[in-house]
Amino acid sequence: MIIMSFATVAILFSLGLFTILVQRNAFKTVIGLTLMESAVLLLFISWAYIPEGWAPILPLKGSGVDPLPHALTLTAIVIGACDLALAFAFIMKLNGFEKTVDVDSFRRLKG
Amino acid sequence: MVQRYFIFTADRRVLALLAGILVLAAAVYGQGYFKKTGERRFFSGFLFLFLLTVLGAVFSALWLGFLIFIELSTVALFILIAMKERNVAFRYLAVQLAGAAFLLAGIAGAGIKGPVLFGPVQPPFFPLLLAGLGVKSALLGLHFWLPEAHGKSPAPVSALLSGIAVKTGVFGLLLLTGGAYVPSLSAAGAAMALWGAFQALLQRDVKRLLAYSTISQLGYIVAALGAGGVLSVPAVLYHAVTHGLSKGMLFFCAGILEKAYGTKDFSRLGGAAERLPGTCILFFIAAASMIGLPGTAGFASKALLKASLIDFPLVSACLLVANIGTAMVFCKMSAFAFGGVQKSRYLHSPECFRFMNAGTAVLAPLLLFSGFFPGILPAFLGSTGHSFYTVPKCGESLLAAVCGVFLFLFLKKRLRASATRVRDIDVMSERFPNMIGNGARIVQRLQGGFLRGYLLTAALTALILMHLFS
Amino acid sequence: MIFSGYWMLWSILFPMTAAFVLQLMHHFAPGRTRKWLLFSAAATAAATLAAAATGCGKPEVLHIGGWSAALGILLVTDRLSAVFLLISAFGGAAAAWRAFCALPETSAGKERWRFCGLFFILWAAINGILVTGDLFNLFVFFEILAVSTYVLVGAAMTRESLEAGLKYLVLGTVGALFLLLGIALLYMGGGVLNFALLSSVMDSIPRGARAAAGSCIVVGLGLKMGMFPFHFWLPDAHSTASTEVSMILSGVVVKASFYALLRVTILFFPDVREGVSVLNVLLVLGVLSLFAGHLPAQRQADVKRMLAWSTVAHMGYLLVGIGCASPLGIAGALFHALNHAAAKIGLFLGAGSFSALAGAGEWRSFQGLGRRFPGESAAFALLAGSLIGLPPLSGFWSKWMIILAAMEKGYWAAALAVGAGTALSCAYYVPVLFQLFGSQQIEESFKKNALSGSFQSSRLMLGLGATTVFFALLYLVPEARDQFLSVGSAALSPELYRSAVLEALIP
Repeated sequence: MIIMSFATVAILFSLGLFTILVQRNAFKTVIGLTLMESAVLLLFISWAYIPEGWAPILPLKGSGVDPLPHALTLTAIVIGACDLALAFAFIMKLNGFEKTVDVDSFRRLKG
Repeated sequence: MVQRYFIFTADRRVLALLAGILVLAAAVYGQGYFKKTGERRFFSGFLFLFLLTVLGAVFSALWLGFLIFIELSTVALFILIAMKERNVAFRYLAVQLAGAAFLLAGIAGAGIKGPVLFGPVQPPFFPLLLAGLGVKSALLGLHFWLPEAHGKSPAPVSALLSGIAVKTGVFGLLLLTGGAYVPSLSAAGAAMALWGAFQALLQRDVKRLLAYSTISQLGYIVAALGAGGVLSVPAVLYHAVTHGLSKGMLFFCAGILEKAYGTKDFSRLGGAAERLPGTCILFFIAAASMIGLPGTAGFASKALLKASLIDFPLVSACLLVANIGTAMVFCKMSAFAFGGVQKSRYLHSPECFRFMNAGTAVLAPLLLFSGFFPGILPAFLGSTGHSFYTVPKCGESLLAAVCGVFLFLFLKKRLRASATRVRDIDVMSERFPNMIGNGARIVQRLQGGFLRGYLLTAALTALILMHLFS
Repeated sequence: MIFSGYWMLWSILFPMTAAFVLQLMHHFAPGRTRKWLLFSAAATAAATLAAAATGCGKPEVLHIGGWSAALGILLVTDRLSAVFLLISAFGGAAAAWRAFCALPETSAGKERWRFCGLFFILWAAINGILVTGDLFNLFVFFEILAVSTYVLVGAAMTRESLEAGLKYLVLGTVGALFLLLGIALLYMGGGVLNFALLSSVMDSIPRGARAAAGSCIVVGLGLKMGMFPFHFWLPDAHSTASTEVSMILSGVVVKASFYALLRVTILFFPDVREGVSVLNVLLVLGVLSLFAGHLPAQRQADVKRMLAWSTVAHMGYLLVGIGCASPLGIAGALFHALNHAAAKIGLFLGAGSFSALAGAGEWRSFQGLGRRFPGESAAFALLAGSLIGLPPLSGFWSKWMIILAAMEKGYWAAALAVGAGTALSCAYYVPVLFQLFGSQQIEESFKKNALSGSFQSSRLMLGLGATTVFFALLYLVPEARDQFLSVGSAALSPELYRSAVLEALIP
């Protein structure tokens, strides 16, 4: 596997983790989630790389890389986009009620 | 199917007889105790269910069957107590179910190969079963629930509790040890007998006094149980029956006093002998049996107990002291409740107590019969050749009674209703719910509503798990 | 059985198409919508039951599209899946009955039809999780499940449910992330994503990768299931959702996640000789979940939140059962899953109806309702007794099996914890029952909201109350017990699954 990909994955994942643990704005939490998801998907795609490989649609030069991770990644990206949209809908509805997007202030349900 | 799950040996039939008589008496008593027809019907119905569950427990051939029927009898008693006192019923149920947890674990452990017969169990699981049965039969240290439960329930239910419910626990202990010598049980029994009598002397409340007296008498039973030997089974069962009948009568009398004067407090009772003559006579019969005067069943059962403890002089001495204490206790009850000057307004006319007196009277004949023909019950259990009415035995019991009376008269001023309290472990009965509530509050703090906190917990746990698995 | 392989597929496809047809039907023929809803609910339940029936003998394998195991997606039903498909069929049907039979014709009701489509998609996802034979497919169905539950939780549109939905979304996405990471690691190690094939190459994966994958998958699936310490979303989500959503969430969704965890753990992370195995960790987390669930439940004023905390605790029982790693343990966990599903669905149904009648969600406002509705309250009391674990109701027997399994392996602390759960759970159910069966005086603060109506879905309630007696009788039949034990022992061996799947011919 390519070292650069590894490093990027590690950086992205930790950035995402840091964001969701530290940031109080709900939008930033969701962005953090997306970052973490991108990291995992990048890890998966990077693993699929075979040296001298080409896109696994119609291999014009030599063989294609492993297609299964690509399929899974596409699915996961779609699911991620859906989650994102839903998250934004929730935040906006909550904002309508609570007039804030501070995650720490959503504390009606406790105990 | 019946043969696989139930056994009908003599010792079980004796307990079943006790249960049946007590339930019958309670049913009659309940007709007078409860005012509304609906309540009376409800009471009789669940009383019958309770009888069925106790019979199922006593005749069970497997530990699991015993446990199931005991839990069902607990639920039946819970419903009966809850008719009048909800919190007491709730605490009783919670404690009994907690004890049942130990029983379940022990039975599961012993029953890996197959269902366990209701009898002795291998050593590793003995403590678990002991703990579970100890809660049910109020062993020393695990008796914290008894004063409140027996003291505050409605009178007929207290009679059942003291009369038969704890006896099923004792029966389980009896079959668990199987006649072996368990020194710790003997010691615990002696301690219980002394402690129970001591605490009973200091109570202000009639029913709490009787509850502590139950602990004391259970101590006698457990001491004989721990001693082992050939005589332990008949002694234990005989005393269980006697105590059940007499304590049942005493609780019924206490209920009559409560209904008559509207109070259970000794400082406000008094002078019942003139107003309630029938009750007074029944009370004296029961008290005489508890003290162990010759002519009552108590004398015979105590004689048999002492015979089974012949090789344990220390335990016998403790029981003798406890006997003196018991005599003092019932002197106290008769002096302050039945004797003396009337302090509270009398609420009802004696005709109202027809049913209640009748219910109490149901139990009396067997006590007297057993007293005059003491050999019949042990013979039924297979133990013959006892001579009960010998001079040394009669002398011993009369001596204990007379000592008790003298000591009581000597200390009468101190034992007035407003005596000091010695703290007992029964405060745990209130503390346990608080402790669990505090534990709950701590766990509840984790659910603070902070999303970031939840995320941090998840991330940390993932890290820990990764470390653990590699 | 005709088309024996395809019932699994239909149990997934039919609810999905039903959901889409619903949107069309509402547009073109709005009057017939309700009938379509009822019909599709019944048909889905039937298809799920049929799928369960196909798995009752040998495991049933369906190669979708004719592709072999290495290239395509397989659907596999064996007896383990059959038990959970049974739960899905009856749980979904009960929730559908409550949702659609009681669909009011008010303006709120006109909006509610939108969410009915999501209900069917949720049901399709549950069935998908239960029959899939492929990790990729599992992930996809989990995501479908997740998204539909997020929306359904928030559908009540109150402040609390929106907040609960958001928290569930964030935590659920983190869980899905971990699941995806675990799947990625397994693929990177094994090269295949099919359950059977991957399970046969597990030994060739290096230990570090296996450890990382195992922990990620436990985190991901545990979060969906409500295992401590990932359970924080569950009380919020299950209590603020509307009644029918709570019913299916607590009854079926957490069980589907439990099934996935069980399947993945047994196939990929069997017991190891040295070190800590996944099943040991599940046992410990199960005991912790038990206490983490029972203790807060005692301080709840809202009855649905109390029931949600009780769900956390009962998931703990299931984890203790499978943590024992023995046929008896798994059989006990399966039986308990059945009992808990029936009981929790009934309790949520009762709680919802009582809240509607009393006008408030607090159980203190239920005073006297038991006298007005004796049959339904008796069913409620029976179900509560079953969950408490009182003999001879069914909950006692499943707990007994779990305790027996724990003591068999020597985990006496776990056995005592399960036994203590009885006392702890009676501590919070009994006050509710006292309120129900108490006298008729309602507290002044609750009087103004009290409605005089009828109990919604009372026949369903009575039916669910009867199930606890039915399951208890079932346990007492030795053949039924042996059936459960054989399911447990079959589930415990990955070789059986592998051989059944890999030797199935492509038709």
